[in-house]
Amino acid sequence: MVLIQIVWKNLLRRKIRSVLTVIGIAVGIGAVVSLVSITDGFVHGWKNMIKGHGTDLTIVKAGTEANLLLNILDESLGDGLRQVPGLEAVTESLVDIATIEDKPSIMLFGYAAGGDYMNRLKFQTGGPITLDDKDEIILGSVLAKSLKIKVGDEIEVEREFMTVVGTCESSNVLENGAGIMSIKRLQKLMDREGKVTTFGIRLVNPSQMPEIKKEIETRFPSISALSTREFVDENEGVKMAQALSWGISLIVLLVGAIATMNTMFMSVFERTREIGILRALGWRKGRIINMIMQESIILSLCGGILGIFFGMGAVRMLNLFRQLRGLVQAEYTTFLFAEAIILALILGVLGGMLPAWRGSRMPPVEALRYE
Amino acid sequence: MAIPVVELRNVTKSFVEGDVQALRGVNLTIYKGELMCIMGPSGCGKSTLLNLVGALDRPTSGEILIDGVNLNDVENLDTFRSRKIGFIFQAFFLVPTLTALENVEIPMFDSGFVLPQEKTQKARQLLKDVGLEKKINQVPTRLSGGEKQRVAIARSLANDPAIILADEPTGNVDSKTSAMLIELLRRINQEKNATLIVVTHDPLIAAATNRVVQMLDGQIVGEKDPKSLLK
Ligand SMILES: Nc1ncnc2c1ncn2[C@@H]1O[C@H](COP(=O)(O)OP(=O)(O)O)[C@@H](O)[C@H]1O
Ligand SMILES: [Mg+2]
Repeated sequence: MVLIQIVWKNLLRRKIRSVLTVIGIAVGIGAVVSLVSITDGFVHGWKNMIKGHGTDLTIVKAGTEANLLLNILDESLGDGLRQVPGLEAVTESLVDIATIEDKPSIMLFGYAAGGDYMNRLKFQTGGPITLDDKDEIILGSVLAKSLKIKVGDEIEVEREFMTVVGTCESSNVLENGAGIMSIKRLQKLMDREGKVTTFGIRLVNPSQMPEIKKEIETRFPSISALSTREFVDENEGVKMAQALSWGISLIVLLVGAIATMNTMFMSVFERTREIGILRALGWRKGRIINMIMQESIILSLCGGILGIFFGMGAVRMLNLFRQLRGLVQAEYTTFLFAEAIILALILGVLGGMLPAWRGSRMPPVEALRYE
Repeated sequence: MAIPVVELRNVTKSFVEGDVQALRGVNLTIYKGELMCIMGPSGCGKSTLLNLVGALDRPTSGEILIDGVNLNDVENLDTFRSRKIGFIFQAFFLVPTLTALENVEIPMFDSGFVLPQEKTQKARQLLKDVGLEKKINQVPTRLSGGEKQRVAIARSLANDPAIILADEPTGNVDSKTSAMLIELLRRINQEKNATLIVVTHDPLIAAATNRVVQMLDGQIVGEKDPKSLLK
């Protein structure tokens, strides 16, 4: 017989309590897994969208890197940018929030009609907008579905009527839930003539990125040229979601450790006599600690593994809601799974430490005294 | 010729809690291979004495030598205890979740390196020696009182201890089982040449030993001829 067999039997002694503890931990870890996977999925999708646009560098106003909607640049800046050597394409885009039909705060993207961004969209039905001044709009797949709209229908956007000419499926949940218009028409619609949110730059030779970035930033001190990674990771929303995941992880750690500690203390106290006997039979304090720590860690690891399934299940459940379908796009990385297991491990160690120490300190004579 | 295995020199033990002086200057020498017995009224300090000899606790003053080793000089009593001493308790004290076989393996965990399969092998043999080969996979709740105590006896032998301490081993079983258990202890004493110290109230048990020490109020008050107890 080896120690782990004794540990296992101890856990099975109070099955319901062990199972409840595992479920408790799993719910916490599941929350972390779903939250982080959704954030990761969003970030990943966004980066893919930019990559899909063929953009190497994104131009934003210096100081407003973190918030896309605060970014306002003059369209005329594009002409200046085009003078920089080594650029293959400079494409402007405008992002704004508008009311579509009865839905407030829908994101609208404005891309040049017939331009690169427009043409690279993956259309489910219909096709791109080719003329600047037409009252036309393309809907992201999720938005189209929730509005129950198909190509050829008319919809109301900020109290003007637009014809839907296409629906598209993007790798990015933002685009899936958004409307896309020609940039000129969007500027007029929103009273933002001559303004853009970002310029996307494609380089002739992407390996020149550092030099060109420097060149652009010296020529135009009021703007920043960001790589996709910088652009996405600096985003306020992304940062907030990441901070939230950390916060939730910490809470889960704390609550989980306390729950584990509670279970382990109960288990140690009800085994006072038994631990005393083990000590009388020559078990060292270290072995008692070892036994209790193993019990605690097995509970938390089971919770961690179950939690991963809980988290993935929760994401699936979210996708069952029609309004959310396509908007929740989870990305499961090995790193995330490792994080969940390590979180569980730390929680088990923290929760087991005090009970283990307490159990090891029980004097055998005391334990054997009461009959 | 006799070699002392246990020597107590002026041993006292006080408990702060309850302000009790459980042992008041005990001097006692026990020789190798003895089967001896300690008798005395409840509360006179028999268990306390056994716990000290078993290195479960330290005396307030005085010296205890086990196999020539002064316990006051032993840093880690746990390892010492698991190698030298076997315990048998009145309430059996088997681990309820473990089978008979697993219970017998318990003392072999910290007594030095033993392979898991060797532990199992040894435990199986010991259970066979006490006549329980058919019950090795039973948990304690499936065993009778006598069977539980036989498991406990097998367990006390796990590390081939020099000394076996039994605190009222027949206190929880009927007289027939009690007779069988003392017979088993006698056999172990002879076959393994282990020193056995038995605490008991039962004159029948005491009569089956070779030496009877009488205690009263934390002191040893004399010795009796075991045979005289039968009258
Ligand atoms: N751990 C302890 N703390 C306080 N008092 C104790 C402790 N152990 C024993 N005693 C006291 O010491 C005395 C002797 O006890 P014990 O050795 O158990 O007697 P016996 O085994 O002969 O019945 C009793 O008065 C008992 O209450
Ligand atoms: Mg007693």
